[in-house]
Amino acid sequence: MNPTHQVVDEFGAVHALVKRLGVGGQGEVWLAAGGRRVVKLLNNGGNPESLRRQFAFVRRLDLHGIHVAKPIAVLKPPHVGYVADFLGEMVAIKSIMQAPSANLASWHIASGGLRRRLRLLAHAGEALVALHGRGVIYTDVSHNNVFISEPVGAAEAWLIDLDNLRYQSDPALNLYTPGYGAPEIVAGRAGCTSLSDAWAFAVLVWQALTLTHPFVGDLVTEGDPEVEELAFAGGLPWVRHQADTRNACTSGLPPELVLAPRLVELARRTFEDGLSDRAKRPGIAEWVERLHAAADQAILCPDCAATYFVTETACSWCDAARPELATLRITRWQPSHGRVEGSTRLGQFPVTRTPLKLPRRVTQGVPGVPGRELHVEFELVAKGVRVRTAPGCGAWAASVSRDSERYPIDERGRVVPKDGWMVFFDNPDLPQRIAVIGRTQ
Amino acid sequence: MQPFADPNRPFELATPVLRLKSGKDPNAKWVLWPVFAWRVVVPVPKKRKLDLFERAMLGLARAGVTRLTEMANHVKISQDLSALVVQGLQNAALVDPTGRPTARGIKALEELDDDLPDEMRVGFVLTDGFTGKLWPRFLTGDLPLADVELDDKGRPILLSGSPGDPWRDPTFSVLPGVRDSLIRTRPQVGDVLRAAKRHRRQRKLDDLSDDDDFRAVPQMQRVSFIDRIGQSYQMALRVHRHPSGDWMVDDPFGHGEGVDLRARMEERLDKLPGLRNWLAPLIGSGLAATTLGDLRMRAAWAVEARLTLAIRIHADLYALLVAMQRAMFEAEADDAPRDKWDDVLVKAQRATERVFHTTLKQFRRTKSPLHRKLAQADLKYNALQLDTIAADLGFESPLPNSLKSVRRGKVQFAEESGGGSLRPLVVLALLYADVTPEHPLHKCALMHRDLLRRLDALAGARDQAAHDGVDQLSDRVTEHVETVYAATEMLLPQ
Repeated sequence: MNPTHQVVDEFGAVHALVKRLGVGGQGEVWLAAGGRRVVKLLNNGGNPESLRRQFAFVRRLDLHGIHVAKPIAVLKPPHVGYVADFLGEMVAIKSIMQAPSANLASWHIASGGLRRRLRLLAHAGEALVALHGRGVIYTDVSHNNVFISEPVGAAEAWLIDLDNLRYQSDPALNLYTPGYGAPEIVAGRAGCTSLSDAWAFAVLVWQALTLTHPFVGDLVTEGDPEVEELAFAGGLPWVRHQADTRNACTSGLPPELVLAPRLVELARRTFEDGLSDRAKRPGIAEWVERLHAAADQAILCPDCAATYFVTETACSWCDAARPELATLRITRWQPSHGRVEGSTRLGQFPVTRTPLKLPRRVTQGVPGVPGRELHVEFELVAKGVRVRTAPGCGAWAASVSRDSERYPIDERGRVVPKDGWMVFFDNPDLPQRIAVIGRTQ
Repeated sequence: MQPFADPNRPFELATPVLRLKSGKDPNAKWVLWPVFAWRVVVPVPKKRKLDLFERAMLGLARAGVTRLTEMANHVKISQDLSALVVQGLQNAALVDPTGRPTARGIKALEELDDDLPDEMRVGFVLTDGFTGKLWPRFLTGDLPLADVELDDKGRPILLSGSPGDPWRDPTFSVLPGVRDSLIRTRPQVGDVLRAAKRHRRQRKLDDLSDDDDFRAVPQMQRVSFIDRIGQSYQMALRVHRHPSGDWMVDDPFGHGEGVDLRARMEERLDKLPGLRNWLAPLIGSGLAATTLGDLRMRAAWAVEARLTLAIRIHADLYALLVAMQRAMFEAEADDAPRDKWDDVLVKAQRATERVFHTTLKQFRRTKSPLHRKLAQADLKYNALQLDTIAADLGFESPLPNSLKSVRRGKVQFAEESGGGSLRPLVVLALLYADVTPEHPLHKCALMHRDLLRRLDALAGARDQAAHDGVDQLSDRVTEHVETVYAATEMLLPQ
């Protein structure tokens, strides 16, 4: 066998390389025989010793429960690289950013539509937030390093290339993909921080949703390559600058269509206020919260299968009338006091004839990957709202006016009226989040 | 393996799970069944790689005979056949193009000359945790340990799919209780051979090829080793709906329906209410004969689905509606006597009367009662008055004669006692709606213009049912039941 088609890792395991998955500036990625591992072969310029030290550092980190492709082993010389888990049925997020020149709407819908994009970005953000929570920065957020589910029915996001992880902010170690570097990184004024990750993530969000770069407006598109460089370094206003409209953008999808107002505001705080003062940028956790909230506000068009914000009166993609809906509000329950209204808003959800699946993130406030587990499902039916739980989960329903009479709900489901009922997600004798359906008066 | 498992409690939620099949079926239910796995080592004769002709031709080639005619003469076969055999040997790289044996060919011949040692294969047989009965299956190779994570209550969730499209199957563990006796009897050699033989036969029946299947069951005549102590595991069993509508348990080895497994699961259903609840979406509440309790439960679900949980607030009415719906299910049964439909009507009228009683309580006035609006004896006047009110409210008018000719005394009784039968209650409701703008009959007319006529028909059908006469037609009764639901929906606030 050709020696380049077989590598040995630090533990002596032999990996036969069966298929080249990608080639980049840093090297090649190969699928190993067995289909469960990938081998990243770095170019000869790589320093094996520094790579080994980097992996020793990454392996010491507790990355359990974070969707990151953790390196498993470093390769033995003469090869430089490492072995990692293969992310089956996943593709780089750029696959949903490369729009065809024609049939944009059908492509957008076929690739999962607005709600899936918002959810994928939120999940990618969750992985970054979890890394930041472990005290490390990712440094190279880009459309190549975020992998997403290939089946449109799934919305998982994983980060790859963990050899980029850093725990120190050293300008000498700066790393970024062109277009994603924060101004202070591009200029070499500062090292990578969680806020430079936040900048790159904001670029990724804007680009994935509007299909245009936040600094590539008409001025850049029609200008010389140097103008683009200047824009990427923050030398030009972003496309939606409030005062300076020189670089406004007329291509891509209108932000109003694909970004909720609060997401646009986060982008403004990043690319305008946070351009020169990184402390003014919103953190990724805030992005994650708003991305989830926006995804929760997207409803399915029964005519064209697109998803659009419920605030629209008709489908943004085909103009079909908005389907009939009921509303559901998440609030708190204190057994001694009853419903706690007026506290922090925990979310409002449109309930349509397409089941609304509330995960534990919503029902119990569980963050991250465990919070994606389905808990309770709501569906508008002829006579009310059908509520059912995921297998093995419990919930209770009660009328707002008679909250002491509670009815258990299981996976077979029960129909509650469209107004004035609430659903407990846990034993009603415990403080918890509850869902209030419709009007309470 | 779980070497530290408590020998007195070999099965618990955290006991490792075996799973041979996975898939993404949201409607399937997974049940974890206790089994003991016994490691078995069996000697399997090595398969000879060359057949008789190949062996002869290769031997001739080694002896220097390479011409096809000579080879054919020596072996006493036709020249064509000898050419075919040699071609096969060439394709397998056992002879070179000149007909001389390759190093590989010589090695193959040498192996044939030696007595081949048996190959030792490791596998497992499984015994049922409750009965100790050996499963008629042989598990070749390693145990198929499932990827599992525990939920917040410690229950295993089976993980499958890929990082890009993960899939989680919650499970129910059938764990032996304190009263269950566990049987961990070591299988005998004959049992293992029989289990393997039956499994091979099953694979043959299912037309499964042994080629490239690492789970293929080896042909075995002897057993060298059987574990002294079986290890406890939970076997993941998939329960789902059969196309016929019945439920079924899959054979975990992929051999269709596990009839025996279903029988064992049925035995556990009565002992483990949790298992029955777990499988309820597939099996309903009952298994064989439907009991009254089952019908009542079905009826309760049907009433709730029709009127939402809000109907539970009116507990008395809810009970009457469930009774009506239960009678309806009874009447729909294949072997139900025809008079069951009469029973439905009686219950339907009672439920409707309760709806009007409840409404009347809300609007009843003690001063200046409204029955006085009706004439004592002038039925024509009354009819005209009621027709006018019905038309004003938006209902179909004129009203049926049987409704507008209700005598004032009956209406008076209904108003004063809060009781009364259906027709007087309907008339009374009309009189109240006439003077009370917030009375629900106002909205009712918008949705069901014909409701008054339908209520009158219900009362008539019920009267018919109470006397000797024509049998009730099932579709008419169904309409009357729908009238009850419509009246409830419209007249009672949610």
